[in-house]
Amino acid sequence: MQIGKAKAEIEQLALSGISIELVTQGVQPFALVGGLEAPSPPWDRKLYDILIAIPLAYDLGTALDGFYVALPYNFQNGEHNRVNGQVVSVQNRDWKAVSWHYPDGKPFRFEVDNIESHIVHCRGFFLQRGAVNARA
Amino acid sequence: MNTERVVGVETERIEAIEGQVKEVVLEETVVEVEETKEKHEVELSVEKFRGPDRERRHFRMPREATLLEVLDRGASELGEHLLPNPEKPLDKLRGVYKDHETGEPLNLELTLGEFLREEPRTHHFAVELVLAIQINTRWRIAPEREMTPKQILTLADLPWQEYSLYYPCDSVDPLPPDTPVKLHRGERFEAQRDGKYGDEARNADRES
Repeated sequence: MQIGKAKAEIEQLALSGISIELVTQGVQPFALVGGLEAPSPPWDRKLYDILIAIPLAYDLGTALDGFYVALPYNFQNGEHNRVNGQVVSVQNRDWKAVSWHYPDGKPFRFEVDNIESHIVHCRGFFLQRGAVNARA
Repeated sequence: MNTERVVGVETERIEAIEGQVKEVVLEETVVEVEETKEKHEVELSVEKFRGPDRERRHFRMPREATLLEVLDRGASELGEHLLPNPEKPLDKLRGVYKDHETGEPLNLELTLGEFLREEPRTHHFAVELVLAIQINTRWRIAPEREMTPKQILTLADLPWQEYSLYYPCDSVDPLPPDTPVKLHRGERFEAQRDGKYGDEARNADRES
């Protein structure tokens, strides 16, 4: 597992006041980010916890992509069409993958992007900012 | 119990006026407070760097205090908070010298005692409150009062072709990329990697 850079980033983010910790499920590490602000309504609460899968080869430049949202959740009295992926159990909670990706031709770039910028990218989902390829 | 004594006052008799002697104070008064035999406090004054009114505040600090602590206390006396935090501020401390000239930003690791031994000597400081802004978790000093979102992103080492800037942070739409934004100290922006500015630029190229 080569996630030393991820560990260092998570440590720095935690020091800067962000609620974040590194958790693992089996061999898969995740960044558990707490208290992401969401507009309510349409979301059923103002703060959401999310889970970001850290690739085992993050230090080698493998990109971050997508995230998981804690279940249960409610969006406009129902489900959000982008919360449609697999369910994982981490830290005694169930989390569902959100199909929220980087724009076409602008993937996560290791030299510029990091966990911090990915968290903001995930926050854009709750704010319905959309991305150029994700206006659903 | 503390005892106060006035030290360092230099006076000079310059002329006799109607039989009286006028005394002119040449140097600022330094008040040392003796708490114990060894421990000394020094009276300091502080003002805002390039502040509109040059209003001074006076306080005392031990000689063992670092200039970082003087900066923090000085800012507090002036009713301000250091940014982004008192441990690693972007704000600066400067000495104020003769004719109200201010020096370069001081090394905050020096103790007050060490600083007071340096020439030229001064007990008067200026707190420079910089135009610190936050982009995601990155703090930067804005070089201008007004900057375009593209310039703000560049300042934060984020390529505007790939990121766009949001204010307020929960805004759904990004700021117009080339319209200057008036900046205020402590303001927080959010940069999201959604490529909207880059796409706008590309679309404009295609249309032209």
